[in-house]
Amino acid sequence: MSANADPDAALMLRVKDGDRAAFAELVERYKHPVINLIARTINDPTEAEDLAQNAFVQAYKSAHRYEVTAKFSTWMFTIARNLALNEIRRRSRHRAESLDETFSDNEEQPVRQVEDHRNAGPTEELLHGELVDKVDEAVNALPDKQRTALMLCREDEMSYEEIAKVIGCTLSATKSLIHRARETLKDKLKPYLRSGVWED
Amino acid sequence: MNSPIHDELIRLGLKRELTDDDRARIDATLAAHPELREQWEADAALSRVLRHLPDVPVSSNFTSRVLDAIELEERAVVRAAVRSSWRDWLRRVQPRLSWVFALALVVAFGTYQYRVQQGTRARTQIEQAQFVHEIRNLSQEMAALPGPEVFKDFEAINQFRQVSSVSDDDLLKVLK
Repeated sequence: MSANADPDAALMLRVKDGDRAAFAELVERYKHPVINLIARTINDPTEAEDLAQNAFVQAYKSAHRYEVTAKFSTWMFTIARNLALNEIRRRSRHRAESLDETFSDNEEQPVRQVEDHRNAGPTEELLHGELVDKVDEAVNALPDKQRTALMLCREDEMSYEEIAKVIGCTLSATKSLIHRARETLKDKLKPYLRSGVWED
Repeated sequence: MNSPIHDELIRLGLKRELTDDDRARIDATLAAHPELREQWEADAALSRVLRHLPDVPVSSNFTSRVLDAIELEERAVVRAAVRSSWRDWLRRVQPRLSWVFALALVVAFGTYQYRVQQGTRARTQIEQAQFVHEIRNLSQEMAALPGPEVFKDFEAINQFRQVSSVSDDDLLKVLK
């Protein structure tokens, strides 16, 4: 892959030369997907921002090792996922507060209090209510790899091949993970999906 | 089993809203396979749900926080490099310093020994000079003494004293 094909890779080449403004541009582009991925992986939106910050700092420090052969998004999501998995291991070692409890008190979750201004409308109002909680609950209940694969699948430029690289599975295993995740969600959310409140 | 178009549109439906062209393609597929309609509708609904999951809120100063953290890291790296270069320098010069120290120790010990010897020699010379001086004084005193001729009648006088019980006073009277 050439730097021309991936504009992020071109930015990363500038970062390798010490251009911090180029890195700021990359952070701006990827902060939302990286924080979302980490938040979904560790089930803790509060901690996700700090971990995402560490992921970006690590990416900057490792810029000299970045090869243009990989897409920047794949590389960045891999760093973010590894940090998130390390955090899960650290928490399990230190027997920190239960990850499940993090999402038990829905009223205190800032993720549900902030309105998505990009898509204002009746559907979004409902999404910020009880139904979003149900979807969140169902997504969070998925096994880690299925959840991560599904979240990465939402990202614009992530192909199945790139998702496979991030989660460290074969292409067929990745497709299977996404398929199983979708089937589980369809099953759990069947009453809500049929309600019609999700229409665009 | 899903059709390839079905699969592709499900994947696209997760990322973005389907275009009119996409909808035309799926309508054509569903017209040919009406048994897939229910499954498609469930999949399309799930894609919409997942697409509309709200993003985790991000601090407005997130990017500047990242850049600040990078700045701090770089300063820490520079400080560590300076410390490391000092340690490396010390490690490099340590053998030479050891040699210099050992040499200085030998020179200092040699100098001390030399001074001790010099002191001893000076003291010996002073003692010798004093001895010579004393000898000279003694010889001068001896030169001032009467010669051996004064002992010429020593034996007779000595016997005389042993034999005679006459006192010196009496002797003087006789001599007068």
